[in-house]
Amino acid sequence: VSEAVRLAARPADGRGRTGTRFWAPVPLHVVLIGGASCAMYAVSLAGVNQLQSANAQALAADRAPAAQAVTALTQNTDQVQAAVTQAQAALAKTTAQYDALTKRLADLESRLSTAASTVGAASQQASLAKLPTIHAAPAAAAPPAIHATSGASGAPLP
Amino acid sequence: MTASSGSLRLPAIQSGTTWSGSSSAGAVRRYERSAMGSPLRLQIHGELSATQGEGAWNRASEDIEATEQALSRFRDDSELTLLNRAIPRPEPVATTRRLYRALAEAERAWRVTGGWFDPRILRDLERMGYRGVPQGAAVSAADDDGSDARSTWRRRPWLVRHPRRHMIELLEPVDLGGIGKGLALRWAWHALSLPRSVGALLEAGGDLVLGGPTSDGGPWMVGIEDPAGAPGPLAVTALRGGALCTSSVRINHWVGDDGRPLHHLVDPRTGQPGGAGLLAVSVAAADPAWAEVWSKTLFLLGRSRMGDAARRRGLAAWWVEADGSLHMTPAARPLTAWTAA
Repeated sequence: VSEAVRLAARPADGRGRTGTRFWAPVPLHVVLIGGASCAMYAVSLAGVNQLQSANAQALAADRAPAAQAVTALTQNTDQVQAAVTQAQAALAKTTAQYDALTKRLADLESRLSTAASTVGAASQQASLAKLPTIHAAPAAAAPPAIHATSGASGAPLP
Repeated sequence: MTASSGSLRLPAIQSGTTWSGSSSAGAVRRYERSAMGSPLRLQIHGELSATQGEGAWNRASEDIEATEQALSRFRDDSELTLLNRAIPRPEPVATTRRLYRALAEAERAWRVTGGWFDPRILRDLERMGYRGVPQGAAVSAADDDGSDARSTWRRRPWLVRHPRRHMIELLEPVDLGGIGKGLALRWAWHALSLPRSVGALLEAGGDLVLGGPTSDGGPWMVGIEDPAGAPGPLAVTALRGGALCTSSVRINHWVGDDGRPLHHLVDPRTGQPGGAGLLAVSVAAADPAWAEVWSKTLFLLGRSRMGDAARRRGLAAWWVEADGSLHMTPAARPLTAWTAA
């Protein structure tokens, strides 16, 4: 406004005392309309910003579960990967043990085969040996001393 | 030591094949008399005064006598005889607690064994000639081989109980011979009321109950009789407690009018002597009444079925087949200390 007053105070030909040309004076209502327009623009801009901010917040809230799920899935994937790694290690260890056991079993089978052949040879030799003839089976050991006998009922008193 | 310092409880069946202890021989008191048509014997091992021993023996004897008076079908004035004679009775009748418990136990055994233990075989016993005193018209007049199908008869209830007043309705005449002896041993054992430090063995007609320590510290060694009549036992069991009962045809057998050999262990399905292929079955159990029930039931199942039945129930059973061979269940092996041959 002060600029407008200052411009209004200039000579009508638009020149200053030093010969400088002045702009034509702007009416006050134009200045007011321009100010009001700027104010309205600012208010509109603030409203738009507020709306955009609310939308952004709602969108973020909507996306939060999905984001959490993605995070959990990532963690689970990491755990599964770790478990797979452990299983691979265990499998490798078991495989190694199985290989070792297979070798021991093969060795044992070989020794059993040797023992079987030895037993077979011993049996043949034993059949050649003459044993004394047993004419009577040994008597069974006598029963231990007993406190009572369970048996048929109705036996009269001796 | 006083006789009232405690009482022996009926012990669970326990193996006695392994033990450790001294063999210091302690005092052994023996008592004997006749009861229920058989010898009644009591051994007391341990330090007990003569007075205390006599007292225990008298208590057991009196209890056996009371049981016999209630349950015997060989007494004209026994409670069971009077009850059988009164059948059919239109209304419930009050009984002594002893007879009530015996009938209830017999009815339970009938149900548990699926009817193999059936006290209603009294009719068949009488018909075959194994008679006591007359048991009334209901016994002598009945003949289940007629129109009444035997299988239907087997499932028919025969006892109605009213526990509060010991009232019963006995619908058919019964014989409580086998289970009666087991119950007599059970009750007489409790009547002994011996201190825990004293061992005892009570025997009635081949069935016995035992518990507590022996004089030598070892288990109770009980022989299983050879049903062929040999003087020595076929096997010797080593028991720490419980009962051992035997169902055998060695004594109670006879020849029928038609020349057939008969015995007193009757198959309720047929009304004829049962136990095909068997001479004797012995069962060790915690309670003498149930040892008696199972020895009779296994005997009636016969050689082909009794082994499986005994094993399935985990019973410790020994049996002698018709060829004289002795067999036993897995549960009986740890209890067996010696077998012949």
